[in-house]
Amino acid sequence: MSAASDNNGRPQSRSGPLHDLDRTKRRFTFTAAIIVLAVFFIVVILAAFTSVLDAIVFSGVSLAYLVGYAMFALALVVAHMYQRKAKQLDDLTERVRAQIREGGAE
Amino acid sequence: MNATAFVMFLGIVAITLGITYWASKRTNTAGGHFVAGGGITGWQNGLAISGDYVSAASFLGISGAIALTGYNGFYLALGVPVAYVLVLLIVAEPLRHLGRFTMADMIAVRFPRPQVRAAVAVNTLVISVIYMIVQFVGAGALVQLLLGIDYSVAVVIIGVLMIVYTFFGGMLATTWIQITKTVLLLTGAIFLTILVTRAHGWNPTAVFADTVSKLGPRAVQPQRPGFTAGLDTLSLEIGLALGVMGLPHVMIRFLTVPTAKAARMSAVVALWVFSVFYLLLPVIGYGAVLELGKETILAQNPAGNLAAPQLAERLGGSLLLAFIAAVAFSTILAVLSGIIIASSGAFAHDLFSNVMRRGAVSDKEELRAARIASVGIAAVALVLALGARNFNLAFMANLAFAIAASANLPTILFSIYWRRFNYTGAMWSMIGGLTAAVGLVLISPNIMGNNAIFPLTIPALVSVPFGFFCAWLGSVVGERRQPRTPEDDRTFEAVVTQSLVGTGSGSAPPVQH
Repeated sequence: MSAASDNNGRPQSRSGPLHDLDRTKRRFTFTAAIIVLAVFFIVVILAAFTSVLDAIVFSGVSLAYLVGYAMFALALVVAHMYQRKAKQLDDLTERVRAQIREGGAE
Repeated sequence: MNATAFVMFLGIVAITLGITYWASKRTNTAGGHFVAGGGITGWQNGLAISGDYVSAASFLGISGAIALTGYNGFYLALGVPVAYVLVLLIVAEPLRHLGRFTMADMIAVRFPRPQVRAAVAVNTLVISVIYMIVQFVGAGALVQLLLGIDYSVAVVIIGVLMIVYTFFGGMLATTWIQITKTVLLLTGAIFLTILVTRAHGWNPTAVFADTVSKLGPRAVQPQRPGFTAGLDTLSLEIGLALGVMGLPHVMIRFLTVPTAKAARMSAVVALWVFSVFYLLLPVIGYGAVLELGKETILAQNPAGNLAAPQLAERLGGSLLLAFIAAVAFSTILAVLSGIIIASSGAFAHDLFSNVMRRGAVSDKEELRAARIASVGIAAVALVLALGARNFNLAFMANLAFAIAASANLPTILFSIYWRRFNYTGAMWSMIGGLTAAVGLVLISPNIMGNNAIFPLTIPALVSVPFGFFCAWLGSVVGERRQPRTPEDDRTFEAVVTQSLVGTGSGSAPPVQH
């Protein structure tokens, strides 16, 4: 009989650390991914279908290029935020491992 | 034949052979061949991974496309940062915690049945063959153009080099060849950019300003030839952004590092390399068209693929040309080797060891199978490249991405993140995604010209949602035939746990050394 879990099989009745780790990581990952994808698709649609990005902002650099370069910056910012978050979670991860080793998370 | 270029080419090849020799002394297990024994550091891996995108195709292709068509050439760069940050967020750590030698290993933790493994292996091979043909043909053409060696001879030489690298040096050689070439290519690109900037008063934005004043604002604005072209661009970007997560030869690089932390670092380092590299490309591209003019570029190669080398020659003489050409050549060698390793994994580890022999295979046997597979695949790709010389290959690389995003991505994603995903869903999405991507290309303008039934040159816009749809529908149908059991729930929970924390010892699943 499986232990009680929420409607996507998240091990709800399992002890804290695993559940916390899972939920925290998942929340960050999906929020960040959705934001990045949303910005990306908006940029592509604006460039490919509208003239919104055609304006030359300064010294021959079009808004399209500015925004394009900004995509790289966004990716780097999100990546570093994730790295920092994951590092914070490394302790929690180690605790979960210890718990599994001691047979506690079953 | 340009003597300087010839010497440079020989020098690069000598370096790669030296690396292979060094690596061969350390590669005598299957783990060594497939994943370099898990001993690559985060920084090294980041440089190696970025090598797959910092390649001749992007360096020559994108700078040439920007030179000839302006902003639309930059579209190929736009999806890259998105792709790799998604890899970091979604796949890098789970892959390291679940996988061992191949991508199929990761999926097999949830779905151990041989059919699934076989499907992943087949998709891997299809993607790899497509990619290899594109690279091989590009390499042959480049060598012919720059050294005057006949195409067929060039292809055979490249094929022989491939066999040597992968047979003797495995993933360790491949990784270090990638690292070397990435560093060299970045150096060359930075140097070329500096020369261009100097020619424009040491002001990088002046390159843009000069482009606009000489060629008009259209040169820096996206061109929109029509609604269908817009959809094609969107399709291209979807494939690029989502396809990397399903590209076997990139994904297995995350198996070459010992920990999840190193896997994260790999992705971040790669992102930084891309950021530097891709930001230089417009400067190089516009620099080329300002310096040389469109006609000169077109005369050498209608796709503009030689714009960057021509610029190098104009600004830095035949020495810089030789350097850039030799490094561009080495990038192809590096990428090809990586693909052959990935394919040898699909053949030897997935199909032979696991599907045929059900895992009853010694390390020595698997290593031998991997080596034989490497030779065989290189030989087949060589023969295909000899025949594919005059094909229009521009769309084929994008097709590989579309297949990766449509056929592999849904399974990779849902294996880790969706409880209701089951065998039926996995099989349907892998087969359905592959069929949709390939099928749509067969009825696209790439093959059918103006009579095309499907109007886009890149299928991702349709095939990716279709792949996900198949994953969902297959799961629903499968659940109806065979309801989910507590055992299935436990498997999913175990997979989630392992994807988060690994196998308990805190590091990668045991790799034999």
